Amino acid sequence: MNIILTTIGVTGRLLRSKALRMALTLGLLLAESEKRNKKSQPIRILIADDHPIFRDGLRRLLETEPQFVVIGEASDGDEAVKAAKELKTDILLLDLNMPRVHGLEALKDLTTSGTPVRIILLTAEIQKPQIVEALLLGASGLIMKDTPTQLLFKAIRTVMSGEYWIGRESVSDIIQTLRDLAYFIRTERRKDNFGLTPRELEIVRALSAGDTNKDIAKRFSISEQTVKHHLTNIFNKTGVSQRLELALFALSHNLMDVENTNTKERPLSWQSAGKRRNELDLAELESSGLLSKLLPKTH
Amino acid sequence: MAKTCIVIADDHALFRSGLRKLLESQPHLSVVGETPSGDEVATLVKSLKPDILLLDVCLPRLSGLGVLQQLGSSSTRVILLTANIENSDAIQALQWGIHGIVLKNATTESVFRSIDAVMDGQYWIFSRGVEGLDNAVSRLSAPESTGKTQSGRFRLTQREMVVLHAVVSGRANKEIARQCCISEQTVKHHVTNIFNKTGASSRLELTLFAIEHGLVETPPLQ
Repeated sequence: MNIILTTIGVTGRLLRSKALRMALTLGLLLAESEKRNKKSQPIRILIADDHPIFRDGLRRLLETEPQFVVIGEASDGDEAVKAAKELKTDILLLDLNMPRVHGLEALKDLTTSGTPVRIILLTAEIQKPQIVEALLLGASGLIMKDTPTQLLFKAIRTVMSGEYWIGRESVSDIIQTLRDLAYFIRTERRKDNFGLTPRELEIVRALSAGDTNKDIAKRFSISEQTVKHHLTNIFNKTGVSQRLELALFALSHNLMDVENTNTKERPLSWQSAGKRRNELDLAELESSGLLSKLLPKTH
Repeated sequence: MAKTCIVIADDHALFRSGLRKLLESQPHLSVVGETPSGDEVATLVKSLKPDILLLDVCLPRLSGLGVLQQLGSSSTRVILLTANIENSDAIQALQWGIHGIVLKNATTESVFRSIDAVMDGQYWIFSRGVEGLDNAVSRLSAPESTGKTQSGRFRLTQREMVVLHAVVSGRANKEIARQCCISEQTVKHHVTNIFNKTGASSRLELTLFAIEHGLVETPPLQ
């Protein structure tokens, strides 16, 4: 218990946030008690992939481990969501490229509905912005299909113990990982803000701060119709199709990081103090309510 | 009866390991080797002389079709086991001497059956055995094997449908190229053909067109 509190103390000072500290404490305590409860019980796994041969093979591999039990299979995102909600699932192994409902959509559905399942993306390929999006949406792990079987087993155990797994290793500092990813993405693409005009950027920021079209119209003294028009252009330029998706896009591509944001004052005082410009903005993360998803899940 | 010896060439370790388990659950099948890389297949086949090579088309360093050219004439019978393949490529592969094509969205049972059929001297195209090369080729040229009825209205090929789906789900040409294991230039070429056939002139227009005509199952944009 002391160790937990010390850890929280250190993390807390780093993050300088009381709310975060409390959430972390709660998460860690729950993760601890969960670990005790789960020790003897098998890990219940659901497989979601559109290729039956891959599913069948994976099931065989998983069942060589006495600790694992495959409780079901799904062939698209929709089935995966339904199965994960109906069956008591510990781990969902989720493919990204599936017909009808895409893996990320399924992920979003499960985490926003608070379904108690830990999700590991198991995919042939993924782009860095998608990794950020998946982690922000609450994925606990990511593993590629060209990984050896033993590493998959290790990833499952790691995620069950409350840690994250990305690629070939466990990740204890998910915030740092997100920063690294965000930094990488930013340096990878030269910044032209996806061809967004200054007004469009302002609207992206307002929208990401949770403003409605009406709010935005009032703030910039334009009609709601004009706001909608801007949004259509923004969607076309960024390639996203929904407001939430756009907010995530803005976060992961650092479109929020401008001195003059023209948006409401943020509720937290620590956000500007230690903020370095080249990092994913934790204040933005927290105020968007996404950070809570990064904390250990409560079953 | 002697066991059927099999080599698996696929770049995904988890797929290979799983498939090995599945095949070895059959008493008459034995996996003697596997490789993730296209440029190792020919050497492996020459040294192990398996009865069957299960070959993915999308392989790093040397594609499955490249492997076929390297293999030349060999006693090993090749079954392509692939996520997707264009009919013209499939016909070409048959002419280069493969004996079967199984898509990865098929059942495990059909993999077993394809191996048995091919060992029996038949050809195996997607879901059934076929006698003789000519019949196999004509099965691939038959209209019903070129995808759904809706796509037929605009004479889109199977590969064009795959590209269309990818465009509609917002993928960039580069991503599509990787997904389909073709060059970016080829993707552009497909997109141009799709534009010509549908009359659309931009990706957005194409997306709306596809949704309106039921070519994709994606719900309308918000």
